[in-house]
Amino acid sequence: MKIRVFEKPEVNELEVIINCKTKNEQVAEITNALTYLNKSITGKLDGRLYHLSPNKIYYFDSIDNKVFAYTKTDVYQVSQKLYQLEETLFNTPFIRINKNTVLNTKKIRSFHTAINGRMEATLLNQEKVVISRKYVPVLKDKLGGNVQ
Amino acid sequence: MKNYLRRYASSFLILTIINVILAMYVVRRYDMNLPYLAFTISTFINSAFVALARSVFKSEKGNAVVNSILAYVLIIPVLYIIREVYGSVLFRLSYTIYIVLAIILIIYGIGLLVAKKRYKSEVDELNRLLLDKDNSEDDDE
Repeated sequence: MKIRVFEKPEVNELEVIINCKTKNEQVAEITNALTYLNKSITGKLDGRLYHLSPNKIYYFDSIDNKVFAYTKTDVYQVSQKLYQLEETLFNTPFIRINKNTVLNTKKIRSFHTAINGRMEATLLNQEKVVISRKYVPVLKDKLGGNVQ
Repeated sequence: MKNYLRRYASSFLILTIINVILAMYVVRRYDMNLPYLAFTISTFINSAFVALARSVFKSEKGNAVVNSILAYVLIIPVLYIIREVYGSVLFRLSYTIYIVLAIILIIYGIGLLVAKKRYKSEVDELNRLLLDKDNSEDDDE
């Protein structure tokens, strides 16, 4: 694979062109990775709107019919529903891990199990999220394991 | 609420079967009549406690250790209610109930250890996948 970058001062918007013989798995992975970087989620914090890049978001959580986006240090309220975010971020590292949470798998540090068999993920900012057993096969698939 | 009701229904079924078996044993062995109304009401109340204990145990909110302890504590009234219904027929000695509580605690503890061990293999696999993914991304760089 050849990667070339052309700097052109007259270009206003970043454009990525992929030249390929056929649209294979590798091309799909590249487009998914670019989707992850290209998407923008609008979040509200202290009355101000911010454009959030998905690679900065650790997870989305739904509480009392409101959806919040958690970054390393801040929490933004998002207007979209959790299922809409799940659809928007379908081919990205985001995955639903329980009824109320969509997690960015790139922000996971480790997994561990609690005394009652509950499964938790520790994130890069030391926060912990609970993983429902129902979503473990899909999570394994996302991380590159085979779903049986 | 829907999950609680489902657990209540399954707990009711199991406790009814247990109560019928115990009642048959008591009636045949000791040739005594059991108070039907107390018997029925106790099954309803015990099912509520057992369903609540199961819901607390499986809850994804709160501290896992606290939830486990609370679930066991919610089982304790069930034994007292059974003792009230069956009286000294099943609980001959005053400390029998404490022996039963201790046995339940041991079984509960073993169950917790088994559950933790069973899911540890899944967690280990997830950690391995995470490590493999990190290593492959480092190799690409």
